[in-house]
Amino acid sequence: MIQFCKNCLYSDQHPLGIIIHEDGICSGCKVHEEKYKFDWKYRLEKLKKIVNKYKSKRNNYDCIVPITGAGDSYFIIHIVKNILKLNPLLVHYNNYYNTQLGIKNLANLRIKFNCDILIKNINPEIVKKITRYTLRKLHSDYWQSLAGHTVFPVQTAEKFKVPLIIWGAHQGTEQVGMFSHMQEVEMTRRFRKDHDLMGYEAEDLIKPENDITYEDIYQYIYPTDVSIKNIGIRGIYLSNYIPWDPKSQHEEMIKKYGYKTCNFNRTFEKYDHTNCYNYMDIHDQIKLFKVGYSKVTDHAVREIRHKRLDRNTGISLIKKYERKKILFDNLFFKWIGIKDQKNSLIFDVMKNNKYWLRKDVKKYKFNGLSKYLKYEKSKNKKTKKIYFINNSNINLNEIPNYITFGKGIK
Amino acid sequence: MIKKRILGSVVIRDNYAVQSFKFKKYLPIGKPEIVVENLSWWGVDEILLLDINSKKKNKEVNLEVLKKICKKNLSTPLIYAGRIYNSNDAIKLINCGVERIALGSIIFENVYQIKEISQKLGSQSIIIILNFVFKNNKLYLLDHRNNNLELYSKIEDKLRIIQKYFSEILVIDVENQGSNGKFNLKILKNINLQKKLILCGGMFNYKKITKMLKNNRISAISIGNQLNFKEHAYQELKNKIKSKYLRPALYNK
Repeated sequence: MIQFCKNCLYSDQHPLGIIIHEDGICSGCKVHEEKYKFDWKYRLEKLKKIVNKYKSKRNNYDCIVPITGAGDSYFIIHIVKNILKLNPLLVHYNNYYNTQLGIKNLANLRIKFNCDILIKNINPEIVKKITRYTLRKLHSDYWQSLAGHTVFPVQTAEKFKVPLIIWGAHQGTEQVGMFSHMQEVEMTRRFRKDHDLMGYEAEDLIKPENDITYEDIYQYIYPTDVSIKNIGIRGIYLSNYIPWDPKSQHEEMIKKYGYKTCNFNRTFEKYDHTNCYNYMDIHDQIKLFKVGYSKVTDHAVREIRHKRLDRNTGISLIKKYERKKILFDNLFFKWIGIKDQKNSLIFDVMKNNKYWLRKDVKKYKFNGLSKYLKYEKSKNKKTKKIYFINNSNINLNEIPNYITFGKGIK
Repeated sequence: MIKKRILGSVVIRDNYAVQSFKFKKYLPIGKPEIVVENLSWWGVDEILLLDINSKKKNKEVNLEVLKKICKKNLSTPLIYAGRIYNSNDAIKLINCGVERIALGSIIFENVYQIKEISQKLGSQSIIIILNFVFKNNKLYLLDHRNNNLELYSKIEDKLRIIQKYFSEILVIDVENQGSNGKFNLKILKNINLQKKLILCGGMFNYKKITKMLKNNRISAISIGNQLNFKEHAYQELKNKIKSKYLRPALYNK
């Protein structure tokens, strides 16, 4: 039987392994409650002490900050530059799914914060080859993006001998309460492999069944233990020292630095992943196929935990958005060179039979997790309305197209 | 001199690796096969798998998760604990690729099964788990399955008779499990069996570990939650302890 958290909308089927305690509250909600209990001023001071040791005395960068241009990038750099007074080297892995808005946001970020930025472009043909394989084997369009985004900062830290990497939030802690904030978890290769790479390191992609070679995956290989030890590379998460709240953080960045947002077809949230055509689109669709829920559930849960959304409204939003049409699948299939995807079985094989009941050839009945969510009978019929600022469009010139590389300013 | 060991322990609850606090509260960590693979990569001396189940009625040994772990062809020896009640269960586990098994609940249900299992596998493969709880100045053993406390002195008499059938004792301080270095050393004074001890439950404290390694009765120390927070946490632990009783830390090239 599927068990749901009494507070949020996650179930014990969460792929990151949520634990629902005896009182019916999940580990994610329990750890989230720490945000209201801690002395965050003290924790920020602790963070300052940690990073002060890394201030460079040899005209080198103080730290590496991985960015995408969207998500929490603005807020992380704001903290790193303005609060922690560090001189960061920004690193960006180009996943080639760039939106026009994303490129503009990235350019704006570079100008407003006046930071050096290093962009990693891997041969697109290799990226396409890897994506074709991971799509087939791991049912993931995003392996290359996550692998690149998580390895490039560590490679840069090794190359430039800058030991400190500063990340925003720890996904496992924010979603399922993997670690208490007190434990001050740091970046590990194990977490990367387990959760970001779905258990597949770059080396694991070389198989007799495909034409991927060592040269193809070379750029995704993690630095050695010896190298990490010798340089003393460590990656810390700001969310252990600052009460993480993406909505209010983004709104602050909109006001201060002109961060641009957009509407998405499959969620009510307008701030995350504005840089990518796929994340809230085909990637979200695949997520629904595989794990029975989509990103809108993550967004609803986050807002419920922050007490800006009530449970019933969260359920309505999930039911409203999770099965909306995707808009940019043609763009993706054209890019990786798969023709006639509408007739292919590529999506059908991804459907988890726990959540998709096969009725006939290419006909499935959705039996995802939202089907089990029930509205609560509540005396208080007032529902909380949630508002997100929309100040731009994902396609700035109205024709969707991946931007391989762009300066982002006219 | 035979070196002593620092074990990496992994609590597996319903097929998922978790952080455990007193075996009452849990936080998810990840897939057990990846967690174990990582510990092996770090050069952990031995890996202890504590497989627990939220459904207490389930009495079957869990081969599903173990098969995934053993598929990784790891070179690090594995100890498996969880729902082993007879020699058939034990043989299944050894055939799966486990080096040693640890027996817990069987002590309360049928202590003489330990003899039978040992005769088939050899005493070197058998470890006894003692889950200690201090209450009102008396030392009890916790029977997880029935949630009962039994006076340790009574159980020790039974264990003394069959002590040639096991090689080591895994001493768990249940009340301090998951804490930072709060393992209750009073427990050790009450154990009168002539077997080497593996200490588990609140052992993560450099001073405490260094002190315990000097103790002749102790052959190993098991660390769990703390190995998940940092890169190379295991190697860092060994480097900070710098004990002649330990093998040096390993870093892969």
